[in-house]
Amino acid sequence: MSSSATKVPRRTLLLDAASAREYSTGLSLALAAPLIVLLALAFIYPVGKLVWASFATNAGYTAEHYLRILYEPLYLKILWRTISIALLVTVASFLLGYPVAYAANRAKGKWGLLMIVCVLIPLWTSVLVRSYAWILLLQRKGIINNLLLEGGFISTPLRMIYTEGAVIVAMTHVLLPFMILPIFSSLKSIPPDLARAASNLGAGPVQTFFRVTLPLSLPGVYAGSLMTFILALGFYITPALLGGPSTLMMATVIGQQTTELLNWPFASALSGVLLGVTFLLVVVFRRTLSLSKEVQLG
Amino acid sequence: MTAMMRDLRSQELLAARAAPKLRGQTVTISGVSKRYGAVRAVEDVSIEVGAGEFLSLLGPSGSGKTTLLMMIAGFESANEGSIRVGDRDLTYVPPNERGIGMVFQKYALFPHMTVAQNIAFPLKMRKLAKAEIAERVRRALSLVRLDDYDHRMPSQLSGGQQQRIAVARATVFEPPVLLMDEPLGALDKKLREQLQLEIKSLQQRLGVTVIYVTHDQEEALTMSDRVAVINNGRLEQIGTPVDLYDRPESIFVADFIGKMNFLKGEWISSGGENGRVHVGDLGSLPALAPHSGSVVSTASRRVRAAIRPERLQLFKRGHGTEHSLKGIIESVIFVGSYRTFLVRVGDDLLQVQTSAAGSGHLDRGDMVEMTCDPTAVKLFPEPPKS
Repeated sequence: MSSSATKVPRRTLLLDAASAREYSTGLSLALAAPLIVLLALAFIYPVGKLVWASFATNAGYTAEHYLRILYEPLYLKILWRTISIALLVTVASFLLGYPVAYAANRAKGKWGLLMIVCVLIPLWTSVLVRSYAWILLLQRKGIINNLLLEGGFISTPLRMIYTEGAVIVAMTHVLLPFMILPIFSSLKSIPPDLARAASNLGAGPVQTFFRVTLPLSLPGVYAGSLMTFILALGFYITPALLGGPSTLMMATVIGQQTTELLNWPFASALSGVLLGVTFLLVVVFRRTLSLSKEVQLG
Repeated sequence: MTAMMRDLRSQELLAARAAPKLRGQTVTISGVSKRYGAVRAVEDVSIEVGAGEFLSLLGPSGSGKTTLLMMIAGFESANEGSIRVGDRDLTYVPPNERGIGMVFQKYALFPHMTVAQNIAFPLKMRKLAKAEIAERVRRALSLVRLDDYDHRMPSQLSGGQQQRIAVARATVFEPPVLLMDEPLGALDKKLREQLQLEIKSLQQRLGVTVIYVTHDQEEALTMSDRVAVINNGRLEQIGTPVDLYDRPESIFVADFIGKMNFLKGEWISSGGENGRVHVGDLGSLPALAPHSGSVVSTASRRVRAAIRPERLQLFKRGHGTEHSLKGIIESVIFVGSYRTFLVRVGDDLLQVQTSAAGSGHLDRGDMVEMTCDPTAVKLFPEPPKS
């Protein structure tokens, strides 16, 4: 490669390499058209209408719903709780999920596949079922309390259900596959020779992991974290079933406003805020990510 | 520290900088076997590699040569036998404590590190001082003539450049032994030939012991002091390139190294060492009794005769000598400095290579005779029919 070619940013080079198999814009659009139409009709239009409903009244426009969210401390508190629970769930998923992905990648032959199937099976089970399962486990006269009581470890049942802890544990359980799968696939794409090379050059297993394997699997970690975090922000069923009144999350509150209080404009405003915050956090996340990538590239 | 000592020390440093010498060490592989379940990948291989020697492990793919290399590097463990470097037994030492350099087939440069960081990696692992690391990286880069590439990412380099960086990274910590696993396999022919010379001259400058895995016999012959031919997990033969080319000890080596013609025939002794190989009613070639004697006795025996294309002489029918083979030229391939004739002899197609100047009068369809010097014919016992 000549020195002039290497001055071209790496991204451009990658694009050039791909362009040999690129479809024309028209064909690409035609292929994507059915989905674009569906998204426009069933997603963009309703969301637009929702945001519209949060501003519009019969008499004109108003910001009163947004002001209410801002001035009633309850709602900002719930928003903050939602974000912090989503963050905790993301961190917990990462800490629990990375070792699973790592082990599945290292396992020999069919064992790795078996592990991934075990990760996938819960995904085919309804969130509702999985949340009810947690109720059976955690409730006052549930499985865990019964075992502990009969074993003589405690004399009065522990209060586990309707706590923030219960919500975090159950959400982590539900979202874990979304963390494990991208990490697994990015670990899988690292050539095994790299770890061997590190070891050959004098790095022990721990150093090989932290200096080679972990940095190279970060794209999977970022993808998994982003997915888990976004899904956690809008989680509805699990917090509604396992969380008490003291652990309300945004989606639950929005649900209450629409189904119980029938305050559609206010529900719309809450949705708008959740949507905006999610969007903002994604942008911030991507920004820091691309920054850290540039630092990595030197 | 006195001024004189300091002076001496700095002189030493200067000398070391001018000629970075690695002290190559011997590698002793004794009775090493490796099994994967019922598959015997490597079977009772013993090789003694001299200090500073360039040894190739040559064999077809799946012959076990890479497995053997992996065992020396410590990525695979031997079921039996031991591996020593110098007088240190490495058989049970983990790979990161072996201190052996290795160049991987696909270079295995760390894609998230710059060229300089890649080369500094083994030095960082050895906890060298920052200034020392920087100095050694600079030297390693200039050794492979990529001085200004320290801030590039590996993905911004060509295959040949990546290969050079891989060599720099594998030698920067001055290992006594350097392992190379088909390091040029991914490069095109011209670049490969250029890098063969570069690697060879680097090895000689550094004095490092090199064990080089390849399936390319030409590459092995060009670069090596000695070549170990591996087949089906076993060591077929080990020797200098000339040994292997002129004195193959088995049909496999005779066939694998260079071009070789094989003829089925009968060994007929005419007393003492002399005799001939009779090839049906197509004639015969003069030959010497195999000196390893045991396989072919002086009595008439079925043999496989092996002759190099350049050792056969070609005549128009009727101009031959007493012991010659009859054939018809089926095609002529002009390769510049020489011609290759494909000569039909019964069911076999023989290659005959002659200088372009002396064979101009011969053409396709000509009835010819071939003969050779008796020393050019290698006799092997006819392998049992499978």
